[in-house]
Amino acid sequence: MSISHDSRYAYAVGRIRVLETRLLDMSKLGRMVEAKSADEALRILGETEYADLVSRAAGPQDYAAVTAGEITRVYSLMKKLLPDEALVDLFLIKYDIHNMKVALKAQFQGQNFEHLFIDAGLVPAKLMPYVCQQEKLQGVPPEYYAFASAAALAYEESKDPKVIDLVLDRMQYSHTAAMAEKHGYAFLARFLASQADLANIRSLVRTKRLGRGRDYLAGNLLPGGTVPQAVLLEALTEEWTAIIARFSSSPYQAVVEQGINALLESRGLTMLEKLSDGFLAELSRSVRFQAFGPEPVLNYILAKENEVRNIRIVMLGKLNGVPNEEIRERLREGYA
Amino acid sequence: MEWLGINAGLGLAILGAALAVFLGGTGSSIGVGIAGQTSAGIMSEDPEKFGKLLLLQALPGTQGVYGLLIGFWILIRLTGVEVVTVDQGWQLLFACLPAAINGLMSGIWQGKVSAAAMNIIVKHPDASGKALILPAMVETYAIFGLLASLLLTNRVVF
Amino acid sequence: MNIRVNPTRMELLRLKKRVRVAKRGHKLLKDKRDELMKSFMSLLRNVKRLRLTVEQKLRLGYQSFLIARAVMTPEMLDEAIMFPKQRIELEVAEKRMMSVTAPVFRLRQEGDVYAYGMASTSGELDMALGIFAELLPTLIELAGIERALELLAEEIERTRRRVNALEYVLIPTLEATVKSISMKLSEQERGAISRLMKIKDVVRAK
Repeated sequence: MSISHDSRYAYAVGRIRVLETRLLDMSKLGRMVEAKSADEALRILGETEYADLVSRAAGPQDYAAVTAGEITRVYSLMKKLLPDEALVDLFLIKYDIHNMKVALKAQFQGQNFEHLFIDAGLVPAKLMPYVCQQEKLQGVPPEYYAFASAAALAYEESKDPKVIDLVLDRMQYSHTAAMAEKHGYAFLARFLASQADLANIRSLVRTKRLGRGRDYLAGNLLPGGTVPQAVLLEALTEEWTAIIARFSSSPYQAVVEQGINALLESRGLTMLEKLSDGFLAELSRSVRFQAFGPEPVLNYILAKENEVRNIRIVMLGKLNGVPNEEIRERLREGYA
Repeated sequence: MEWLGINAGLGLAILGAALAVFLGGTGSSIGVGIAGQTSAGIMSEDPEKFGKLLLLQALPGTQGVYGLLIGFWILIRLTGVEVVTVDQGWQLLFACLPAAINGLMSGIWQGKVSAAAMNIIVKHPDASGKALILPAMVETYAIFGLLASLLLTNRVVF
Repeated sequence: MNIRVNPTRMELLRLKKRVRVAKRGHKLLKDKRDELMKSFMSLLRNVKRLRLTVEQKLRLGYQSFLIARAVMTPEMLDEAIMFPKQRIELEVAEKRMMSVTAPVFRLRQEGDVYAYGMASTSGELDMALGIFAELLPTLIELAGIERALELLAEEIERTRRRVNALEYVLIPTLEATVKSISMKLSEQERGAISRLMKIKDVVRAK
């Protein structure tokens, strides 16, 4: 019986139920969209959970500091709430990988790019250059050294900066999935598989749109998905309609069909990306009402990441005078 | 049952009482523990909810009380009884089991349902009356256990 | 508005020659100005068309870029484009048109614009960079033409000033001087004649 395991999260879940009520719902976001100016949109944001961060912001241009501050606050709060920090750590791997990309690219260019670090990962960002130079440091996951050397080696061989991204993206997914497996987060493992599938489908569509070949797509494919890579590579040479048909019996049918149709109607790739984000949100929402276990926590973190993205979409849109309709079209549906 | 000594019957009866108290109490403490963690989580963000959460938090505690009741009842039945035969001992022991085992299981599950019901209260504060019914359903079976144990112990004749 | 010169016949001849030269120069400059104006206008129409298409495409590019910036964490977007793979060589040559030396840019692009992984970036970034990369040669061409346009405008202005100076200052002054000298000369002539007649009378009376 898994009673004792599940109920470890009882406290966190209770708190998260309250926190969930403070997520920005579509009506709040809608009010921000309708605001007359970016200033007003920021003021509306200041009436929410973001009040503290907004009051410290210099103005609407400072929205990036607000969103970055909020997301780090959520990660550290979750770490405090949860019995096992490993769950939050899974969300932080992407920042480490990002910092590693920055450190490697800076190293190979011989320039300083410190301002591009995001100090939210497991490893303090300013230590990442040392990790890339294989200096053994305490508290750095041992896998990271292997990642850095693999990416560096791939660059040395090809002299192509892109391979740094390609290698590290793959490592990030397989590492996160392996960690989820190791800690027994069954739902997260499923979530990651879907995430990899959707990323692969997006890469397929993008590669086809650019008219690039098999090798280009193969380099961009992530491991761990349920759609076999061979299927994706094969689909690359097919017509758009054939690609849609190929996915007609998969869970991604709606995403692929509507996404590709939007692209063909020259409405860009936004729809595909929005739909695939929506798919993941739906997946996460489906387990949200479990009263025990880590799923509600997961859903909350994902919801926050999504919320921050929506705020960015609104603020950037407002600052650049994008019509309200277009902003609204790009907003991602919520997790709550 | 000679090897157990002369008072084996009394020992069995006390074991029954102890089991009722122990298992009921265990069930309740796990249940209250789960519900307590959840309500602590909620209240750390929203202290106003204390009133609504209190009852839900207390509900899984009843199984312990029922166990204690059966324990006391056995003791009351035994006062003034000179000799408890092994037969009577066994009867009392088995009569305690419905309250004991029911208390253990329903206590734990009631705690979980209470915690889940608290989630409802946060999401829909107006539905707190409805939310209360859910763990109360589990309570029914704890009461059945108590009832069965009471009736059964009363059937034992000295 | 006269030039202070000695009113001699020699001077008169010299001035008359200068007027002739000035008038011919004036006509030539005026022709040059018209010609400059004509090529300026046709270039202008060209630029306007080019500029319109460039701006239209740029707007699309920026729109995509804006979405990419919104859906990606800003640092992650910057990371994707911090190490470009594409090399660009720009050569500058000169082209002469009607006494104007305009620069002509020649662009050589090599390497892939898409120097990032797809898994961690938005597809809108592809679109934005695709548009920008496609637009760059046109943008450079536009820069060259606009520079030529600017130089032409300067040249037209200079020519116009010269035409005006000839037309309204130099030629009228010269003509006025010629006129006053010839008047002075004929005055002198009349004076000499009347003096001669007077002397004749005196001589005859004796």
